[in-house]
Amino acid sequence: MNNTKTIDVKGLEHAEKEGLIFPSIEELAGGQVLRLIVEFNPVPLVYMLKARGEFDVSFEKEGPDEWILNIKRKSTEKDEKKEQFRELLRDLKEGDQEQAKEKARELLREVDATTLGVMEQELIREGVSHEEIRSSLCDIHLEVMKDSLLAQRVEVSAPHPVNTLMEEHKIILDTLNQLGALVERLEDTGSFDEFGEDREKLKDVSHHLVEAESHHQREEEVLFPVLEAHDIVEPPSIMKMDHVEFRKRKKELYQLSHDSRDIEFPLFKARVTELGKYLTKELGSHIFKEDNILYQIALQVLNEEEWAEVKKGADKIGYCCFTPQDVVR
Amino acid sequence: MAGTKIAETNMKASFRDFLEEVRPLRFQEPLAETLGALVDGGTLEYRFVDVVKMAGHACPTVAGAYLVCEKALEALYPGETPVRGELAVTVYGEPDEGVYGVVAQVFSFITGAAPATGFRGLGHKFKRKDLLKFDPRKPDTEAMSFEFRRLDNSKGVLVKLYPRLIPFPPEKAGRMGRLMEQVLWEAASAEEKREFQELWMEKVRDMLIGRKEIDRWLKIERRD
Ligand SMILES: [Fe+2]
Ligand SMILES: [Fe+2]
Repeated sequence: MNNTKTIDVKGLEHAEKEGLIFPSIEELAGGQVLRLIVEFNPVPLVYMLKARGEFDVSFEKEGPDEWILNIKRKSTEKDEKKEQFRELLRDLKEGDQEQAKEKARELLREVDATTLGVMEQELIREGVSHEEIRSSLCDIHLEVMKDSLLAQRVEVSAPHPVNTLMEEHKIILDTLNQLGALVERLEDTGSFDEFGEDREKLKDVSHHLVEAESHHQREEEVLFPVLEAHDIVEPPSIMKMDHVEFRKRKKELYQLSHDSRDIEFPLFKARVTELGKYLTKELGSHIFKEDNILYQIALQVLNEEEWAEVKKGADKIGYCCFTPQDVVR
Repeated sequence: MAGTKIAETNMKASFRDFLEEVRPLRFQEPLAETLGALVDGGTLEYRFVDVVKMAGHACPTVAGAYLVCEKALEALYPGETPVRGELAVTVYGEPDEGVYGVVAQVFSFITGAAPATGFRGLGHKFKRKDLLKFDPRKPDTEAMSFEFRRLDNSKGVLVKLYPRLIPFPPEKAGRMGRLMEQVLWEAASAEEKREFQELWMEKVRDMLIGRKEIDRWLKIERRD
């Protein structure tokens, strides 16, 4: 590798972009520079890189139709556990997924992100699909970033809109925990009778999940447009796509929990289990990304006047039945 | 939802009886007269079902807006036929706040007072544009407040609607809320859907026909 490498990801799908950008960054040795050309302002990436502290990040060009970012790694790090990881990541692809992921998480606590990135690059060369990268590697990235992101995270006090959204997230996460427990119990159940009172609980849980629509609505109609006005376009659009996926599944779960008269138990069980697992995992990680990346970027970018507008807009839309009243006043 | 074919006999809108029984509001409409749509001395009748056609539905908000108009017109035109286009209306709220936009549409439809998109007038007459305005400074935080002012004599009234004071049994309200969620997420059975519609219409009927405790939830004061 020369001292400077250029990659142009303009026009690629989000997953493809990630598949190119992250490994190229992780591959950087100390002193090496990656010139990254994108068609939008890569605010989340810059935020994440700064949070890591291992890189010097600067703009060579800032818009309007392309951004060129120079990412320079400050120091070299040794990658001792390389072989171990190579095996693990291969397992992720071929072996027992859950077990491999658990092992990977354990190892990640000891290993730095650089090693991981190199391994990922190789995995991509071995032909892992984008979907797999999205579902397993994206999570692992997040896992690696977790500590530094959590350490950087800024919290604001009520009635700031970010405070409200974060408080709602806590309640949604609590609901997702309940859903997870319900799904676990359902797995050991053979009939509606056996599922018993949990059916009522499933109704409550799905009611809470559909009630959370107003939370998403406030994000989409009030917060995201302001971010977009600041040229932060890509992350809101990904979050919006997530919302659509969640809505479909929440709707089916809600329908299953409210009217399971016409459905055989095995099918009920299979659907609820699948939907429940998807929502606990994906909505949970969506919330993590918002709390620790998207909202954090918003806190850095929006001025006080804009927050006042966001607050006004959020008040107009209204809140969820579970939103604590004292945080919105 | 895509349009569906309906049988010939169903072509006429069939409203629930009580919706047709609501007292109509009657106006002189000088613009219609001038341009010939109305023959001499004719008046325009605005019935509640006309408002339903405009709004595409009936609900407590639309019913409340209709009653607010009725109240204001009675106070401003005692023993007279109100004149369409001769009223200025102030809605104390913002156009995209809660249901204020819907309420304003009902006022516009009935009184002719239009927002910025309204008719510019013919020469110096018949201007309807900007007769309906929004003002975020609410005179009463518990109420939805509206000012109606006659342009010919500048007499005005402030009408206040207190949606939370409209009597409706809390258990029915709770049931209605739960059913509404099921209806919206398409998880209601046919019976549940019917039950929901009955409750919904019961509330609308209570307001428009029953008018129970109306002096508590619909108030008026002079603002001359
Ligand atoms: Fe979201
Ligand atoms: Fe959120």
